[in-house]
Amino acid sequence: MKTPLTRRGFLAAAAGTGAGLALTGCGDFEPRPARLANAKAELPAYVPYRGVPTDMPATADGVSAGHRHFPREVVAAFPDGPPAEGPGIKIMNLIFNPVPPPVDGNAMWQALNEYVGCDLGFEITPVGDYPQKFAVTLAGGDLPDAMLMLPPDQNSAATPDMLDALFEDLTPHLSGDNVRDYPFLANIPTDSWLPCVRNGGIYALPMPRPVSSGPTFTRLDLLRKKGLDPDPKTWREFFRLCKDATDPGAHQYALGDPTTTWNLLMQMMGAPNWWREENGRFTHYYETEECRQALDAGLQLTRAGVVHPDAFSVVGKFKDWFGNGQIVMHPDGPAAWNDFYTVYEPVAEGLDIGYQMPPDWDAATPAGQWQGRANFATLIVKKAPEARIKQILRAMNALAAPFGTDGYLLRKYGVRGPDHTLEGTDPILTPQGTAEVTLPTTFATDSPFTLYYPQKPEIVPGQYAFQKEAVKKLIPNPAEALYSATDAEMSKLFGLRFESLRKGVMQGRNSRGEWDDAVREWRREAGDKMRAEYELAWETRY
Amino acid sequence: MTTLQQTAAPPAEKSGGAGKRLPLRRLRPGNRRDLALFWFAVPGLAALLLFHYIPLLGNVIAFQDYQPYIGIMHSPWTGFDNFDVVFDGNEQFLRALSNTLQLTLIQVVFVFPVPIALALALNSLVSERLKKWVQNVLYLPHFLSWVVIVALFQQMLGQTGMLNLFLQSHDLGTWNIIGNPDTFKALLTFQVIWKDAGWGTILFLAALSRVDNNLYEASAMDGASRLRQTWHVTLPALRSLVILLLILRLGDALSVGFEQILLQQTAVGLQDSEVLDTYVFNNGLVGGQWGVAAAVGLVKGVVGVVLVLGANKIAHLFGEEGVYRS
Repeated sequence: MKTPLTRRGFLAAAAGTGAGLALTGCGDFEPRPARLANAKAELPAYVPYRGVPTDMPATADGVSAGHRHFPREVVAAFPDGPPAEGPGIKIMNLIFNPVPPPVDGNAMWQALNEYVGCDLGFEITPVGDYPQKFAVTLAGGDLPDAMLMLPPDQNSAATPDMLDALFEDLTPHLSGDNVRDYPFLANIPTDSWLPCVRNGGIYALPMPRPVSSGPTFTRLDLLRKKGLDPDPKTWREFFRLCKDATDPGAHQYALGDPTTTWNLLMQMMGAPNWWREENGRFTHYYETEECRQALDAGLQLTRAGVVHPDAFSVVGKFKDWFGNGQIVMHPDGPAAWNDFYTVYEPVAEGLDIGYQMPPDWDAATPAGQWQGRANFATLIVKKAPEARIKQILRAMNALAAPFGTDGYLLRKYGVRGPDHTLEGTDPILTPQGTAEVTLPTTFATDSPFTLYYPQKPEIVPGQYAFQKEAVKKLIPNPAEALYSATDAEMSKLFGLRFESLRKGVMQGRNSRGEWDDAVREWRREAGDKMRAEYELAWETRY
Repeated sequence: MTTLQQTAAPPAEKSGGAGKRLPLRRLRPGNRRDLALFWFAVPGLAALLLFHYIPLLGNVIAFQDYQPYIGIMHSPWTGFDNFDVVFDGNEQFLRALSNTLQLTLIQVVFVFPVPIALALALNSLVSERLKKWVQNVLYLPHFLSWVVIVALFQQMLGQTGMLNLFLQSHDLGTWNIIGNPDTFKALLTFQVIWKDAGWGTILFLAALSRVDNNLYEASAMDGASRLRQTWHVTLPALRSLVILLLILRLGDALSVGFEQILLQQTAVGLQDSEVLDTYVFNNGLVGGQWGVAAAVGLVKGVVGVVLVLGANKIAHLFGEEGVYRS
């Protein structure tokens, strides 16, 4: 390490950077105006699949169909043979579970390839790393045939210009009656197609999820043991229930996750689901009086000691706490319902899970249920010749085969024998099957959500009842299907700050004044611009 | 290590003479032995060039409104706009800077001397077996990832962790350590010491093993106590190494434990836990403000270089060799 080398090394690096500056292009990029980005497109026709009769049918207002048992006669989705024969298709998407075994040692994956007619190459990234993976894949330029695109507010790289430059406009294949060529895609409700529209075209395929979202799950077994009413009607009753259910000596608390708890408080007041739209004017929930009230209520809950003491310092433990009885109430998504039984029933004796609708704030302020996103995310397809696009769409159509078909059975329960055994007509996963079916086909596209749990069919009517109750008081997010460049660019950044601050206020560490200051700053730096963009987008789209 | 330093540095007159030659000639290996060594070094140099120097070019996005999908070639230029955040009193940035500087100071004062003290203590152990055993125990935490360590601390010191359950069961109340902004910096410091102090002793122990035993014997003959021996023999032997490491530490003075802090940010909130590294991550990778994040990273790098060169200069003024000779 001699002097000249060190100094000159640095200078050389600096010179290199200078040369890099000189060599790079001229910066010819101009973002697309909001009006064009949010232009309308003709949506695919909705042609519901009516193959399997049930006494719990799907409804037009968004209730998912429920089935106690799998039908005896499994329908062959493609009686004429594999629908998408041709070269393999690479799909980049994400996973919440551990990664499944690779295709060579995965009976379900092999059978799926055979069923679709080509090799499906899944490039799987853990969910937390996906936005980074997405951005660097775009930057690297070596794109897979199809990739999962998170909604813009979770993924700033997903811009309308990027879609236009690199990905296929699927409108000619899917708009109106054209979608009938892909009958299982046509079975996906219209709500789920709305966020697939950008730049006046259909640029993506949906990954449908139930709009009813999830309830506050309750440990009925534990609440009943204490003789408590698990169904409070107002915030006061809820607060009392929380206090009565808490017993620090027994390490038992009412609530755990501070984020979903706060969401619940907001819903009790019927607060906006992110944005509220009235006569074309947009209001964000940060700005509302409900939000300030919910912060106070959150602080009351923490002060009363009903929130798990580690709630604010751990991440990802809440389901475990609920499963092992450290908390007795837990607002979560709809998929959690079955998972709780699968994961915790073997260890939690007498596990009985109920649901709770958000209680009204008071007699004058009725509660609402925040409508869930109609998609988890969407799937975009790399530009390619028409025949290839059609092959990919046929493959995705196969991945959307609905409940009652062999395709559905294969996707969710694998191959009979290695992956599942039959109990009556219902497939029960084997340990091998449990590992293999985590192959994330559900993060490519999917059939509409179906309420079905073969291990415990008796819980399905409860799930159906919850959805019927929930859809009556849904509060939609008017911005869900729209694009605002500022929101895409800034929402995660501010989201992080507000989350930190919200937790601070709920613990009494930060004051409500600090929250108000942050909201003023947000309005100045981003919020007012977002509002203007969404109002323009709303006017353009609807 | 100190000896290595001495042999690595070429005689002064030789280096002065080299300055007159053509630069390329100077890089050419002088004899057969050097040539062999040169070829040994080539893969390392290539890796250094490929993975350290070429990526430096990517810093150009600090001067752009960088959009990943259109790439560096087409992203619009913004001049020095991205650097505004550093100079215009942006509250978030200043908070991150303040937390970083506080942590740097705390770590230099409290963390840096620990391995030295530990090495001295280990060196004074007479039983070789006990010494080896203690060393191994001390090295182990270094090989645990921060995820594991943070979880371990959570299990021990969390509100429902071992300590608090013990306190609770003896009606002594609870002590909020993990989610408490007031104790956060102390907690971070303690974690760093727990994880890396043992590992940090390696260099010092190597240096201590090279101290001439005759010096100890001579000082003992002169009636020096153990304390005086430490002060007059051991510490002077460590001085060059301490200064070298301190200078290198200054080079990344503004890096104060990215992963460790990121993992614990939710517990105490951004206000008390955001440092420059997490600021770059949260703004760049998470928030999509690639240009701003790169600008802050670049400034951080430049400050690091200035600190190293400055500290080295000061070391020269005091007659030390520092990282390289003047």
